[in-house]
Amino acid sequence: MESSPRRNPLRRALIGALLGAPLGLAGGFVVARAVKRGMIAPLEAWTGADLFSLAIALGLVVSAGYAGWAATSGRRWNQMVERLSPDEPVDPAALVSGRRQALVAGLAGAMMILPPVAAHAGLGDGARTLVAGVVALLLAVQTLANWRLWRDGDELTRAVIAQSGAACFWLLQLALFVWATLTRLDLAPEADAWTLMTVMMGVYLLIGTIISARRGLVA
Amino acid sequence: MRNRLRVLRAEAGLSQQELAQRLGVSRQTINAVETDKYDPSLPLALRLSKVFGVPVDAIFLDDWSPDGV
Repeated sequence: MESSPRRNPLRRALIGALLGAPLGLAGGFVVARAVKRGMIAPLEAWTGADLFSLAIALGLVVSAGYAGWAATSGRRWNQMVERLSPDEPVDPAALVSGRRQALVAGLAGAMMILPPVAAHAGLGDGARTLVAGVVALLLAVQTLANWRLWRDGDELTRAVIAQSGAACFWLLQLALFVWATLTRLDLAPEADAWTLMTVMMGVYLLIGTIISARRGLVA
Repeated sequence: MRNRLRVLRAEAGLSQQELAQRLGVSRQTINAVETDKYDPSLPLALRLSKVFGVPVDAIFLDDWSPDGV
């Protein structure tokens, strides 16, 4: 069997809006209640970059959970990822790749959130060093998983990774040059390393998602 | 690039998954080629040509001509 023909983009957008609007309403309601009850007071000291990295981390953890759950069985993988009938045969390599992608996204989410949380937790030098060590360990595991995704991926997967990297490099070097020029001329404020990293991660995720969709890697 | 892969595959009675396994690529790659979202590498195009027993230019359609007509 093969994928069903793609639906009209306008129809897809309308269906997405119809499904997303109630979710957005519910999400906004929950956030408003939390603000009213003072539940987000600890986040008031967080910088914009810290909050952005929190949002990225949450997105990564949710996508990791989705991919990880889908990869627990061939039937689920067909339904949730491939958009095929559940009874279609599944390539075992696709399930392994799905689990690896879930691992990579989950670890990236953890690494995006640990530094700002630890920074605002009032930890001593020893504890902060320990957090740095944990992040280094997670980074090593994630790098290994990323390398195996590249090594075991087919040419479409590699093309998407390479094109995403190239597009990000071009965009980010352009933005960095403009920003550096403005700061050198005292026309813009300096940025800290965490802000730069967060912007880079956000741009990479956005570009990677767009290119994956355009190349047909994701439905 | 426009191509006749879906037609050739249907004529051969192969599913996307079966063709993908025969070529050593993922099902998404076959689907992406069929839907003109991805132009395959030269080695993959040659393997497709061998699987279906037709020249590459009978699979992938290019309007360009050296005369510029």
